[in-house]
This record gives sequence, C-alpha cells and structure tokens, in this order.
Amino acid sequence: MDNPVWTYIFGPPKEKRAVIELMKSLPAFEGLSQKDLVTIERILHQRRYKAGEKVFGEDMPGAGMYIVKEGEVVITKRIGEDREVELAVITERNFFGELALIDEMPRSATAVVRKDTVLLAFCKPDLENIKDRNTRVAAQIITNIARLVCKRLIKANENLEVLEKKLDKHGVDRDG
Amino acid sequence: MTGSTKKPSHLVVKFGYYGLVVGVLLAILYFFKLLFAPLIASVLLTLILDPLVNVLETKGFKRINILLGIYAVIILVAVGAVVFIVPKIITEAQTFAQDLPQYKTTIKEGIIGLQKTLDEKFKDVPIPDLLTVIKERMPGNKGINVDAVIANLSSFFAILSLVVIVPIVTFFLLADGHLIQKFLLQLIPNSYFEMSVLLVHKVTSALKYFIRGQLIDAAAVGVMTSIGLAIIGLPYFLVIGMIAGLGNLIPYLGPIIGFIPALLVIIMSSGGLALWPVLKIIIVFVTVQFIEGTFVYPIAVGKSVNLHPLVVIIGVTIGGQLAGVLGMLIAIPIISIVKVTFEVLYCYLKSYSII
Repeated sequence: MDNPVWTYIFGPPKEKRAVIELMKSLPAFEGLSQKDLVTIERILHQRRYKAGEKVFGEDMPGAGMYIVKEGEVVITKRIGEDREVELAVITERNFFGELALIDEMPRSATAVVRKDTVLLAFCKPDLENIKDRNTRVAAQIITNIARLVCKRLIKANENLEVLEKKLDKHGVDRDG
Repeated sequence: MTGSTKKPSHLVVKFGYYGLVVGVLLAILYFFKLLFAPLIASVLLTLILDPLVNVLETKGFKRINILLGIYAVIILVAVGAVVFIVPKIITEAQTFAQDLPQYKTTIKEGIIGLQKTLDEKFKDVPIPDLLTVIKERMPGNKGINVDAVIANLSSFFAILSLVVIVPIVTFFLLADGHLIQKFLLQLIPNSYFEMSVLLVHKVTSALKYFIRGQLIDAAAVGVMTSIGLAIIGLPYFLVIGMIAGLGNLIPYLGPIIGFIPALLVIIMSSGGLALWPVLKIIIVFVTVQFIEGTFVYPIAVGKSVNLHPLVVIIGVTIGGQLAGVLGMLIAIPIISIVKVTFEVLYCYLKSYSII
C-alpha cells in the first residue's frame, strides 16, 4: 500500500485520522473545526525523505510549510563562506518553513532530514486555494502564523537584549 | 550499497523510471490526439467557471451542489435553444429548399447574361463556357470521396467528444482539480517538489488571470462598441459589436477586426463610402479604444501579463505566421507561460549555483 496511486485512491482512513489529530496539536491550525481540518488534510502532500536528503536550501524560493509526521529535520544556516550553524532540530509533531506561506521571500535557512522522515507539506498555492473557497479558514491560519511570528520576534528581541548587555559588559564598541 | 555487485546503479534506475514515465505520457498524448482539443477546452472552461464556483462556495454552498446547479442551468439553456431555435432553422431550411429551384434559375440566367456580356466585350479573347466550368468545379460531381467521408466521420467524433467529454472533464476539474494536481505532484521527486509546486501555481495563476481579464475586456469592448454603433444608427450594431469584442482578444489587431465589418455595412446600406458615416464609425471605435485602454484593460488584465509591448507585437506576429488567427490568440498566454517558467527555473538554477 506504499504506492501513491493506491494510497490516493483508497486512502487509509486510520492514517487520515492520525494526521488530523496531529494537525489539532499544532498552533498553525488552532481554532479550526474538525470539518476544516478534514478539508485541509485532503490537500496536504505527504512526502518521504531518506536520511541526509535536503528538503529545501537557503535562498531558494519557498513553496510552503512542512509538518514532521515521522523523523527529524535539522535547520542550518550559512555564516560567511564556509561555516554552517545548526539553528534548530525539528522533531515529530512540529513544523517548519511556515514563513513561505505568507511571503515569497527566499528561504532563510536550509532544511535537511537527519533520519528517514515523513513530512506533510502545506503549500502556499494550497492556502490560496482555501482563501478563494473559504476565507474564514484561511484568515484563521494566517492569524495563527502571524501570532507565531510575533512570539518569535519577541524572543529574538530578548536574545538581542541579552547580547547587547554581554557586549556592553565586555566594552565592545558597536559603531566602529 | 556494496557497489561490487552487478546491480544497476541508482542513477540508471532513476533515469529508467523517469524515462518510462515520460515515455508513457508521450504515448498517451500520441494515441489520444483526439482528446487534445476537448482537454484544452475543459481546462479553459474550468479556469473561467472556477471563480464563480469559488464565490458561491464562500456563501456556504457545497461545491458539488454548485456544480450540479451550474450544469442544470446550462442544460436548461441548451434545451431551450433546441426547442426554440432549431424549429426556426428547420423552417428556414425548408423554405430555402422550396426556393432553391428558383435560385438556381436566377443564378443560371445571371451566368448566361455574364457570358453574353463577356463574349460581346472581349470578342478576340476565347472565353470558355462558364456554365460547364462551374459545373465541373462544383463539389459532389465526382462520386463519393472516401477521404471526405473519413474527414466528416472524424469531425463527427471530434464534435461528439467535445459535447460529451468537455462537460465531464470540466466537472471533475472543477470538483477535484486540486486533488488531481496533488496526485500529479506525488510523482515528482523530492528535490524538484517545491520548484514544481511554484511552477504549476505561477503558470495556472498567469493563465487564470489572463483568460479572465481578456474575457472581461472583450465583453466590455463588445458592449461599448454595440452601444456606440447603436447611437450613430448603424444597422447590425449587435453583430459588429460582438465581432469587435471577439477581435479584441487579438492584441493590436482587435480594433481593425471590428472596423472592417462596420465599413462593409456602410457600403452595403448606402452603396458607397460617404465621409460622414465613416467618420462617425471612426469616432465610436477611437472612443471605445480610449476607454478600454485607459480604464478597462489596466483593471481587467493589468499586471497579469507583465510583458513589454514590443514582445507582444513580435509574439502576435510570429503566432499569426505559424498558426493564423489561433496563433495570434494563444501567442500571449504561451509567452506568459514561458516567461513564468524561466523566472522560476532561473531562481532555482541560481540557488543551485548552476548559473
């Protein structure tokens, strides 16, 4: 039953229920009814990745966000010419790449799977399709993502403050 | 992963798989040539109807019920047309059949008269017997033409496929278009997944906005031209307005396409080209073009086709040379698709440092 054709046609309902339960636990889909989640589940793209396979690269145009159904994804960022910094590890029942749903900016980091992984892709065209057909659902998802971005911005500001204090403590002149 | 065994390498398997997929697709395209036109017609119809279905869906109706409703309306209109228009056509055809011998005599007399005049005026030139020449060249005098029968049969199937296949395919595209797209995207390898998603989205968006915009623009030109021509009192203003609207689908040539039949009507109704009526028509067409260019086009088509006018003119000329009027009509959407494809591919190739 691993064949996408048969999975598409017969779609194991048990697996579908599991995906809907997973979506319920994610802040991006907060406030959506069971019916809304069933509709979104139908348009999610399930994709299997081998360990070490790249999901997307830094500076590439982003197509959407990914939910980790099984496995693990590492987010890295290039610093300078030859340094790569690990920003985060996205584990099961978490998601990444959600900024691509809102903006067409290139990806700010690279995502590579650490072990064999199953991802559920929710793409920008899918969100636009929902926007055309059910404005309320689309507005709810966009609001949820905006809330997440706000939280992250506050966190980034706090980190910046800590860094500023550390720099002050060491007497580093930041204008020069 | 040992590498020493004689297993085919991943690359070979990969190429084999995608070669097979492409091969099967090409074979399907080749063997189902007949389905080409209905499939394209269905996609076009889907792009036109989709916004209407979406708007009704936002009002809380179920998509399937909306589609059934739209189809019921279309069937009612079609049945109405058959009930009310077909009897008229049959009556006209019967009248025509009754009058045909009379027409034949009139035409025959006309030809004989022409022969006499020609013989008298050009006594030195040998003129063949016109009636014999025409009879020889009339179709249907050479018995049954097998090629013509086959051509008729295939055109019969073409029409049948349009009537039967287009509504069915359009129905499924409207109901489950995104699921069909999802299924096709499942066949794409992971490394090209995001690129394919963006490519499909950008191409369909460009086409969607272009087709909708053009249709609104054509309808506006048709209505405005009809009103303008009705005001100046030109006969057949509705038909000429429709021709002008449809002609407007071809960039730059549009206004001329509507203008020519208007001139012909003047010649037919007054027997010549008087200055004032021609001037009035020119005023109508220039005004319509001004309103269309200033207000309608920027709103309706606007940025959906972000092409330089020079590219549009060259594209339309090449399209016209390659495939006539159809080429002129599809030149701009094809250039838009190529442009969008290159834009997406360029971004990806650049980020892979290939270019």
